[in-house]
Amino acid sequence: MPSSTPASAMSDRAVEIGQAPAQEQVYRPWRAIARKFFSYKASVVSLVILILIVLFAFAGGPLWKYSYAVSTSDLSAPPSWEHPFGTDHLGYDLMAGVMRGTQRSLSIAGTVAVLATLIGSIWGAVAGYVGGWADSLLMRIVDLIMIFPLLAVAAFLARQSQGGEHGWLLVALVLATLSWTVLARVVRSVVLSLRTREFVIAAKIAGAGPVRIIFRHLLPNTVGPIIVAATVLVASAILSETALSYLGFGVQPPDTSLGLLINQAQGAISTRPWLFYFPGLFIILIALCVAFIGDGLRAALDPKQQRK
Amino acid sequence: MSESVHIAGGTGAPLVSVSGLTVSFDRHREEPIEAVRDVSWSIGSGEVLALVGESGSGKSVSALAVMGLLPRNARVAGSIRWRGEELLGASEKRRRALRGSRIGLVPQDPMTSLNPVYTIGAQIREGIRAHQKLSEREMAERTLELLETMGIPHARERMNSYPHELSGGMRQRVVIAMAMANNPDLIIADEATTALDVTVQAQVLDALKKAQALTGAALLLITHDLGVVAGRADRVAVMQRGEVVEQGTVDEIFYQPASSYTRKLLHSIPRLNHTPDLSAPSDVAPDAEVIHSAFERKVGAEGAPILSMRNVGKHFPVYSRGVIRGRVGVIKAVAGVDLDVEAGTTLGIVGESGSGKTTLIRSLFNLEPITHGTILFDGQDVHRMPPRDRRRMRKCVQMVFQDPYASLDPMMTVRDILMEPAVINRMDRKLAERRVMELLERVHLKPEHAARYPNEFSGGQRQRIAIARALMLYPRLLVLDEPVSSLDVSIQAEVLTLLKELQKDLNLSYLFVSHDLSVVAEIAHSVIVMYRGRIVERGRVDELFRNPKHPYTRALLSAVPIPDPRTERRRERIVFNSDTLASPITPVERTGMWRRLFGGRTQEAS
Repeated sequence: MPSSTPASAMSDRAVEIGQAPAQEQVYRPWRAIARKFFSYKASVVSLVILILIVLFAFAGGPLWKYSYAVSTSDLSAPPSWEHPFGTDHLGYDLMAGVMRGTQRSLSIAGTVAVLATLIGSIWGAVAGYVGGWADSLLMRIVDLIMIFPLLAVAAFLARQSQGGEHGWLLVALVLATLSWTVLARVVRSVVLSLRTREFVIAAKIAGAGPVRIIFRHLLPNTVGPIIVAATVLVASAILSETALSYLGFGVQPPDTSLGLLINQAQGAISTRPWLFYFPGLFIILIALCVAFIGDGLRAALDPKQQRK
Repeated sequence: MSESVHIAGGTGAPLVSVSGLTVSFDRHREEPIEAVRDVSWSIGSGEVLALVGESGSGKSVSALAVMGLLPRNARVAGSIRWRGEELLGASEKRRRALRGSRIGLVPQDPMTSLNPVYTIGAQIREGIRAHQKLSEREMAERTLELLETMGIPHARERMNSYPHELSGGMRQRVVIAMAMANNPDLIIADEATTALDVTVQAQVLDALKKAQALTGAALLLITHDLGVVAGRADRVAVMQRGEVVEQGTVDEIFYQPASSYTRKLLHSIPRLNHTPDLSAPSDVAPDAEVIHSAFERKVGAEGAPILSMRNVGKHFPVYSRGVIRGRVGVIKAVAGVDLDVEAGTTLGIVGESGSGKTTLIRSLFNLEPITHGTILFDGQDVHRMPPRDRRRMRKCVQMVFQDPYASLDPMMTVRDILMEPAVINRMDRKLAERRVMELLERVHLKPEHAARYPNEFSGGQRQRIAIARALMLYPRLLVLDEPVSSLDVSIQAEVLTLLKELQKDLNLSYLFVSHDLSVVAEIAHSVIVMYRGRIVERGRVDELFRNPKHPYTRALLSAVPIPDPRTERRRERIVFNSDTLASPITPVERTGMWRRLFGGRTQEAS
């Protein structure tokens, strides 16, 4: 039908094809991804440990007989059945402290990771894909934020706010605003190499707009580097929070965080080492678990990584 | 040249003899994969042996094993003898002494095998220094001599050039010069001409042959292209899935192939059916106007053109080097092209890299807005269409890309890939789902393939998925940009057959771009030949290929490898000297002040 217009040709042929409906395919990509993730032993073990840590931190506090904010009569007691993690020189139970501290640190690290990853990857993808003056503008803003000295900004903000119940949220927000730039740079560089790939041009020819190309094609193909950067972000957020708390900003006693606990134990390394080891152990566990989970997630989301 | 006395087991120890070679690769948490199984071949001094096979046949792996360059996770068994000396298990020191001095390697991509931060002279000298004790001056002389032997013009100046300043063919000749620098006994050319245009390929193959003749070395030619082998090899070993299926002299393999696989390979090579008559010299000047060889435009005939281009041009600005980047001229990537695609037919566009064919077809999708000219689709000016019609036109023109590994989003399932054009263009979902299944069947894939990801498919299957995607929106014109160039020959034939079948059933029109003349001859009805942004010749396929008029077309045709040893040995190549044409850069007219300040910079950019 060379003479017919495109529109009528379309409906004609559509009718022809309508005759042969093939059997519907069961299509559940998420199930396949989950199955693949659970085939990675290290990732699954890490996930279980992380869930236990979360339960310990959030549910453990109310159940445990001591409170992080109330001191006991046992001063500087080493770990025992009464105080599994020991106590400090003021008689505060360390297990209660670690529970509360883990809760705060996890909240901060989680918020930072989610916010910074979201902002950073979208920012970087837009800069890399749109290019030209928009790219220059977006990336100069990134440069500007990167040269802000983290501690100076934090110290300034510390004066403005007075800790309080939501102090940790402020810490998280400040850390997120200062750390998403790393993701923006990583994502932009990957997108720059992806944008001229033929599958992107194919989508353009099919009529896809920039939003679809960025969210459907570019970002999914950047998921590997994004996850790697995000896991690093979790660990570094826990450590940055320590520095900020030290400066008297954000989480303040009697409230506590893992960083703060380690900080307070500084002077007691030789006399009461347990004060140092338990919070440290939790920081390492959390960072390792997140890294392994990230690794499994990256492999599970990437169809190029085959597993039997 | 050596005769075919060097058949394995003949008189005297061969230069290299490989017997019972098995190579497998250990994989992380998986069964090791066997790349080469019980392979035996040998090569005598001064002999040319071709290892032929499709991708994954293990031809490169066996050569790497000879070089001792297999990756760490490789397990090698069997025997590799060098003049009778066992190499497997030999010390790394001994093997390094052989590499570079006794064995020279010419890999596929000269851009990645040359170090971009050193001059080519320095890189050749480095190879000499590692194996010979020469003074700096002797070394410089030797380098110059090597480059001159390889036919590199202005060799003395070129020695100080960096790889990126040379063309692809030139770079490959530098690599050959490096391979022969120490007068090796064996030169291994691993797909050395695959990335090159036909005319350049012919030149590089001649250079290889010359290097071999001068050094008296044996040549191991690893290729997937039987045409390349025909005129140049003494003996051929055909490999398939890690095994040698057949070995013999080149005439035996081509005229009496014993195995069915060899026969299939030979059969699937696209051939120029009409051997061009190139005996009489061309009387056409290289810069003459477009030659219409027996080109009848049927005005008002039944086949009204679905696509017409009139005087279409695309210019790119050229900037001078330096701090102040003045615009010194334009490159006319496409310079005034007229073409028509008749409904239901295929128009082939032939040209080498840089001829402007890709720019031309991208202009169709407005990926590269044109500088001048008109594009008519179904008689309507594309640039003056109301938005509604333009959207409709977009559905009618779809594209298939060269590299099926790059053109499918690796993170999407086949179903999502096929659905995408439908979703974007708001096709009814139920209808689109059905269309996906119907198209999968059309391109000979199974419905259950829909849930899989592109990496689970072979190159040919992927290209069929790409074709299915292009068909989703019921197009009338398909633009095919080198759709089979990255596929193995047997797969090429399959995809070409599919395309022809689809054209007949769906009344599609094709704009088929390729640098491979034999592929175009197979599928196109009429052809245009592009050179440096211009059409130099056009006509019906049979006419143009039988009786090419333009010197460039003639050079192209004379360079196409023919899978017939006797014909190939007798052939003479026509070399097209591009210097007879003007530079593609047109300087910008500058007046007054500007000319006085920057006028002298035009030279730098060219």
